[in-house]
Amino acid sequence: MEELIQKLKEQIIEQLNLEDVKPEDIDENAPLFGGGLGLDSIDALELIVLLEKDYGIKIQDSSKGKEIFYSIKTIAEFIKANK
Amino acid sequence: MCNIYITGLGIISAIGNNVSETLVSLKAKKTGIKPIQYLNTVHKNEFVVGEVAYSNEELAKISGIIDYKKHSRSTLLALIAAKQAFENSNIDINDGLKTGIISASTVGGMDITEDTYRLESSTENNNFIFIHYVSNHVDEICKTLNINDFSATISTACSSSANAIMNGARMIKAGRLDRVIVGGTDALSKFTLNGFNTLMILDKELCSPFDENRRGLNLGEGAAYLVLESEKAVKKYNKKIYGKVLGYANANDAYHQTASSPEGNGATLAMKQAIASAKITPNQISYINVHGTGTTNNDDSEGAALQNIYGDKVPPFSSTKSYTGHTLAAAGSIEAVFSILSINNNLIFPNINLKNKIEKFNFKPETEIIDNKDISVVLSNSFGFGGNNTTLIFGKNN
Amino acid sequence: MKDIFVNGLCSISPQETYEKNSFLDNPINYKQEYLKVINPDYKNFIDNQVLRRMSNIIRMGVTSAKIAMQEAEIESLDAIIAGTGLGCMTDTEKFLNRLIDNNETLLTPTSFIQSTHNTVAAQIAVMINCKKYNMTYVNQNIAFELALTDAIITINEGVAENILVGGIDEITTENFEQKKRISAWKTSEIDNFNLLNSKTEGCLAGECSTFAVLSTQKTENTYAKIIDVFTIFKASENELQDKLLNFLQKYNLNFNDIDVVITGNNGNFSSDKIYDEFCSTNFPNSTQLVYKHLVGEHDSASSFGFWIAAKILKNNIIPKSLVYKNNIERSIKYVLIYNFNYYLKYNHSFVLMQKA
Repeated sequence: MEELIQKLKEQIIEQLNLEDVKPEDIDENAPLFGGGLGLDSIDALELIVLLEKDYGIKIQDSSKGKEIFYSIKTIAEFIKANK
Repeated sequence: MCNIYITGLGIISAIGNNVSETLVSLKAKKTGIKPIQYLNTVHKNEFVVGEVAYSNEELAKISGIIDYKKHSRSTLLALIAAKQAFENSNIDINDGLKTGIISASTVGGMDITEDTYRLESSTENNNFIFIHYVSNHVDEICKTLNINDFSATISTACSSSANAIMNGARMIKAGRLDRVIVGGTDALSKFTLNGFNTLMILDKELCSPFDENRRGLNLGEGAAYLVLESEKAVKKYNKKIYGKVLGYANANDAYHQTASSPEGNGATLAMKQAIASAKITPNQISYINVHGTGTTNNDDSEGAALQNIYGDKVPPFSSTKSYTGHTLAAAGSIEAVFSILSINNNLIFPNINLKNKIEKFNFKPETEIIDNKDISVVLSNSFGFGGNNTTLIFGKNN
Repeated sequence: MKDIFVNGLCSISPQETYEKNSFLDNPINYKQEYLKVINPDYKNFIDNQVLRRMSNIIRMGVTSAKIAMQEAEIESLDAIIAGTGLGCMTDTEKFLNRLIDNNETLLTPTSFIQSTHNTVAAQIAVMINCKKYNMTYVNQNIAFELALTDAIITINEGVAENILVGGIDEITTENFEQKKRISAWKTSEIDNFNLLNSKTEGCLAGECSTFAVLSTQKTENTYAKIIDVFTIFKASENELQDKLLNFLQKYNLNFNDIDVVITGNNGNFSSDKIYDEFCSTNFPNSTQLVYKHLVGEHDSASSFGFWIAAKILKNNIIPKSLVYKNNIERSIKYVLIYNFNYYLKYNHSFVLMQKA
């Protein structure tokens, strides 16, 4: 799990061009959206593709994104449960 | 304030290759949205679209083009519709009046670009370099119709051709033109189909704008043009007048690059200012042709805007995107032609596919043809990416 | 017609131009295939959250707009009007290449939504919360002139006092390579200072973002006055001459009244010849200036000509590097910017400006 969380942090920074953010700056329990990182609905769509591309998990309904992408931790748990 | 007269119409879309075919489909509540037939995409069996039922080769034949490979589909569609409008208005380009064109597109020659972009250099494969330009279709219309004076191309996403109509009217009012052909064109392309797919706002079945359970939009293609003329131009000939451009406004939502504000701020501003510019009251509007794409976001936001202006008592309204699909840059001018048809035939064309109205609003679109009312003023909305909101108001020529 | 003043101005270009007081004092000599802009530190102008999604054309567009507004000392606008030939090419190419590489799968939305031609004008609106008129023109080389025309109409409608108007285009490696195939450019690296002496076809590619704040009020910052813009799709040399004269006469001017003509010479022999002949016939006594050797050719390049005209009219100084013919010492009152599509040889444009 720790490894997955670390990897996710790096991937999200790259996918979303979070230029000045380092993996250690992201709290895996903190909300990704509306919080410090300032992510929005477009980022959610980017993350949906990230899950499909790198983890082979397809999310068909974009409205489900809200729960899955709540935090790095929830994403990691979702990946573990669906892989 | 000087009058802006509409003296010519031209249209091609999934529901007809000219004005009369279009009217027949609208009256018959016949949608043009079907499985993909011509667009060469891997998503062929996945989405339904409003395609014009001709190949590029066939479109070229109709528009009198010899080498169809030298033109993008957007240009071919534009040539057909612009020529119809030009002929419908019986324009004599050498009569000394100053004639211009303002047209709109978002994809331009993308259908050719995406198929030849990575092919090796050859005269044929290099064509895209010229025709990729959004303004390419305007140059071709100018050459075909001998419009040598003023030409302009607008690209403001899905409000593009509504802006072309507005700015054509403004050019006449400013005394810079006597006559202007206005409208827009967009062909389907893999670029836009996949682009909208990444936003997860495409409905895989027939779209149902303003339905509580709407799932998104269907893309479409087409082109439509109107001929706008000044008092001076109209007086010179005893022309048939289809109606007038009464008002217009362009406002920005300034909220998000793609999403509309939940309160419908930009849309409210555009409608309010257009109504003011037409010097009428909101209740004088007989019918509203809404933007109504069928996405959760647009219809919520546009519904909120309608509520802001009318409360619960909204005039009869409908989204005709359930017939044509969302034709992007062409949507504003295609729906302008529908609005003029509405005025000329005293008809309100319904929203097709609607099952349940949006719960939070106390109003719903018309679902049947209305033919027992005088339709004297029509308001048409067109909203685009970048928060670009435009409202046009058309009226009967009394 | 109302008086329209240029009250704020900024160009981000391949030269050192975005600082307020710089005026091509030490033009940069390039020996390369195409010219890219000198980028300011965008972090000083754009919030990180927004910046991360922006390709360079959006960055330079938004930043030059901001600097122009700072100069004009205004915080709100009544209209934002942009002109661009090709729009956001980097994002377009990115989405297109992924679409081809992945056979229409695993695509993400960011480059698609940023690829629309109106992205720059829209992003400026979001950034300064401007809910007013927002427009983007895309007619290749007259896109900027059409934006200016619209601004003039808007001000004369009496609905606007301050309008932001600009021209933006970027050159990408892919776009450069593609246009190379149709012989749009010179075939090898070229010394930009010698560009106009080459006597061969093709030009030097470049990019730029120029924004200006146009206002109804004259201020301490005012650079110049805009009289009017004239564009025409197609005309023979004689027709062009007649129509330009008509245009000038509307403002009680004649060819002789034009002190400085700024032309779009870009090293492409056949089109440069048209400029030269047009000027020697109609403007034998005017100073002729050129600029595309400094910033390269691109669809909205004439917006850089506009930047030059405004600066000259303010300071009555002509940088040496711009002088092409007849540097006549006189007080400069009227400047005319002439440009046309060098490749297709149509879409002529004239921008007429006056000392404020």
